[in-house]
Amino acid sequence: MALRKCIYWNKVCPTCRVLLVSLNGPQITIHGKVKNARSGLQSYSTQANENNPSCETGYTVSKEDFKWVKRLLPPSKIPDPPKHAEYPTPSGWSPPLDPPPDLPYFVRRNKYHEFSVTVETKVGGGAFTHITKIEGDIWALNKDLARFLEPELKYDLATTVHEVNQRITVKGKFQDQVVKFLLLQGF
Amino acid sequence: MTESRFLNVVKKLPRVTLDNLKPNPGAVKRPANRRGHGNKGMYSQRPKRTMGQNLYNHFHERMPHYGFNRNEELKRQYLPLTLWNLQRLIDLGRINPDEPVDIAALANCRGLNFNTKDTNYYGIYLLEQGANIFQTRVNIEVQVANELAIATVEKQGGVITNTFFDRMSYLALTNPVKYFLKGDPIQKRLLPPEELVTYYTDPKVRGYLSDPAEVVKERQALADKYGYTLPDITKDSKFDMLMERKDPRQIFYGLSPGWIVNLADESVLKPDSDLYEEWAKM
Amino acid sequence: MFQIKLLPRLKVLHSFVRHQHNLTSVKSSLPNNLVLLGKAKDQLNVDHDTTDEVLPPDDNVPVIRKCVGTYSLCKQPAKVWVDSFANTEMVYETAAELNPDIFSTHPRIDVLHDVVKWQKVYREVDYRWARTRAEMGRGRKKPWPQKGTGRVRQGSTVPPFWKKGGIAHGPRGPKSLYYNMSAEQLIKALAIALTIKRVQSDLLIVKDIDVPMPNDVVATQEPLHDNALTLKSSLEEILKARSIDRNSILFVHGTDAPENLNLAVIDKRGWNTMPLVGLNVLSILKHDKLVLHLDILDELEEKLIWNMTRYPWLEMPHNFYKDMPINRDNLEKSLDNM
Repeated sequence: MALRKCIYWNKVCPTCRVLLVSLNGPQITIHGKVKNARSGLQSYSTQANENNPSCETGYTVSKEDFKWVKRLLPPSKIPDPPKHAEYPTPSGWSPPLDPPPDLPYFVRRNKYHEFSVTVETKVGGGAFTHITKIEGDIWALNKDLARFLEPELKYDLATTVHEVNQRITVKGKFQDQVVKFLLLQGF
Repeated sequence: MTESRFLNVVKKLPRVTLDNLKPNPGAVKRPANRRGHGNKGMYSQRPKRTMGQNLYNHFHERMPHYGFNRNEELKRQYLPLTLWNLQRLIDLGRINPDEPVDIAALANCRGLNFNTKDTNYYGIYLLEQGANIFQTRVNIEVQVANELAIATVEKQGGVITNTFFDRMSYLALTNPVKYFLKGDPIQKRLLPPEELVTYYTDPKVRGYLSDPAEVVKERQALADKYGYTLPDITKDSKFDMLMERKDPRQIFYGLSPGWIVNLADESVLKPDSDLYEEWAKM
Repeated sequence: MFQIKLLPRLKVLHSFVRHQHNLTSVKSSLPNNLVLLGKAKDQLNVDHDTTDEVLPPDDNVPVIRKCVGTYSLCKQPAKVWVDSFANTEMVYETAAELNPDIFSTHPRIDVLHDVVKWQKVYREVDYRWARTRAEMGRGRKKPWPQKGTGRVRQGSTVPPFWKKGGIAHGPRGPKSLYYNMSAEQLIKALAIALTIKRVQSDLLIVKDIDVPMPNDVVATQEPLHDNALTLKSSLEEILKARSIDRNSILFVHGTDAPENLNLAVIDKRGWNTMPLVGLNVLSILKHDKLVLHLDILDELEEKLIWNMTRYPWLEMPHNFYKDMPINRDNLEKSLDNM
C-alpha cells in the first residue's frame, strides 16, 4: 500500500536550517516522498494506480505523544555527576577533594570529570602515556610520579617534561597506575 | 596557589604583538627533499632510490598479495560496548537507568562514536569486560551479546534483548533529530535477512523474535549454569519500565511507523484510518 | 635627518602603563634558561621611577562585579580596577573580579601564532591561473616545413620550451586556502589573549564607555563633523589624563552602540570600536590597549565557559537540543521580522 503525503513548508531559517512546519490548512494527503523539501514547494501528487488506490485520510494532532520525542532530543550541556552514598563508585570513579590538597601542583579534570591521561601506541610496539591539564610546579609532580612508579619497575623510569605545553609523557603504558596516583593525591 | 610563575615572567617582558609570535620548535613541517625528481608529473611519483636502491617499485608494491582481507567492506560490523563503560556512564549521570537504554540513548550521551563513514555498521556488541563490577538494573537493547554479559545483566535484575536494525533505521536511531527534520513519515523497520533469522529466533540469546515462554526457561538454565539466583522481576518497582519492548516493526519507543513528527510545534500527526495501523504491523 | 621629540618623564604611573624594573630586580625572578635577544634585552636595561607604582586592588576595596561561571578550585579570581569615562581623572575606588579560567590561563604563544595565521589565511583565494599549450589560442599550424629550411623540426609554436609558449605545470585556477580550526582551540586562544592583556597592564574596564558631551557645547543636528571634533577632543583629554594618548586602542561595547564614542573615533587612525560579537585574537593583539565595558563581562564569561564545558555537536546543526542557552522565543520573533 503506497503512502502519500503533502506538506506545506512555511518558513526555512537560512542560518541554522530550522524547518518550521505549521499545518494550518485543509486535510493533508499522505502521498509519497516530497521531492524538493528545501524550496517552498506547495504540493506534489502522483497518478493513482488501480492496484494502489488513493487513501486520503484525516489526521489528528496529539501533543501527549510528543513526550516520546522529548526522550530522543539530545542534551547540549554535560551534566554534573550525581552524589553517591559511598566512593569509589562501582566503576572506580571518585570526585575531587574539596578543598583542594595543599601541594605545589594541581591536576585538573577534563569536562567529562575524568583525568586526561591518554596512551599513544606506536606501530612496532612502543607506547607513551601523556598527562595534560597540569598547573603549578611540574618538576615536583615529575619527582613524585617517579617515586610512585619506580619501585614496581626493574628499570629506570623515563619521562619528558614539556614546560611550555604543561605536559608530562611517560615511556610505557602506565594509565591505570597514573590515575591511581592522582586519586591518592586527591585531585 | 599564587599566580603562576609564567604569568609573572610575561608581566615583565615586552608587549606581545603580531611581530612577537612564533610557533614551537618542531611544530612546522618543512617541505620534503624531492631528490631531483621535481614536484609534479609521473616522474615524481616513482621511487627515489631509497630502501636498497630500488628504482622500479615502491616498498609496499614489492610484497606478494593474498586475499586475506578481501570483501571486508561487505561484512556486518558492530560497535563494541563494555559493561565497564556502561557502568561509568551511569555513575557520571549521562545515562538514566530509569529509562530503557537504546542506541539513541547512547548516542545522545556521546558515549560511543556513531559517526563512522563506513557503511557496514549495524549496531552494538555488548562485551563482558567489567562483569565483576556491574551493579545496576537496566533494560538494554543490543544487537549481539556475549553469554557472560547476558548473565550479569540478568543477575542484577535487568532485562536484555537482541534486536535487528536495518541500515536505514539504524541511521535514524543514531541521529533522530536529523531524521525528523526530513519531514517523512516514520518508516517501518525491516526484518532480518536469512542468515540472521536463526540468531534472532534463538531464546538462548534472548532474540526479539523468539518464544517468550522458552526465554523464561533459558533464563533459569543460565542461572543454574553460572550459579546465581534469579531475582523475581514481577515484584520489582520498575517492572513496567523493564517490560517495555519495541514492536518488530518499530524504530523508536512509543512512535509507530506512519506518524509524522512536528518539532517546531511540538506535536505528532497521526493518521485517522485503521488501514494505517494494519499496515504498520504488517 | 629629522629630530626625535623626547617626551617628558611621567611622574604619575597609572595601573595600565607598563612599568619596567631594573635589570637586577628582574634577573632574580626570571628563569636561568631564558634567552633574550636584541630589543627585549635593551628594554630591560632601562631605568624607570618605580616609586609611584599602582598596585592591583586589595581585599579591602569594594567589589562591584563578581565573576560568572565555574572555575578551577586552585585559582583565585583576578581583580582589576574599574574606571569610567565620565570622570576626566582616574579614580581608584572600585574593583571587579574576573574569572581565572579566562583571565589567568597558561600563556601559550604558539597557540596564538597558529590562530593569527589561520585568521589571515583562511579567507584567501589564490586567483593565479596560467595557460597550458592547449589554451593559448594558436599553434595548430606547423611553423615551417619538416625538411629543407636548415632549422630544427617543429610542429607548433606553443610548447613550453618555446618563448611565449604555454606553461607545463603552472598554477591552475582559483584555489582556496581554507582550512578549519576547532572551536576548542579558538576559545583557548581568546582566553590566552585576554590574560596576556590583563597581565601586561593593557586592559581597562570601564563603567560608562560613552564619551560625555562637554557642558558648554550644545549638540547640533547638522553637521555631524563639528560634533565629532568636539567629542574627539574631549576623548583625547580623558585618555591623556590616563597617559594612553599615543597607543592604539580597541573599545569593546555591548549591543547598544555608544554613539558619541563612534563619532569621536572616526578620524583617528589607531582607535577603533567593536561590538562584543566581533572580538577576535588578531584585533586584540594588533591594538596596544583593550578597553572593555563592564556590562559585557557577564556575557563574555558565560559564553566562553559554556563552550568549554559542553558536549561536542552531533552531526548536523539544528536548534532542538534540550538545554540550549538560546531563547527560542526570541528566535521566532527575529524570523518573523525577516
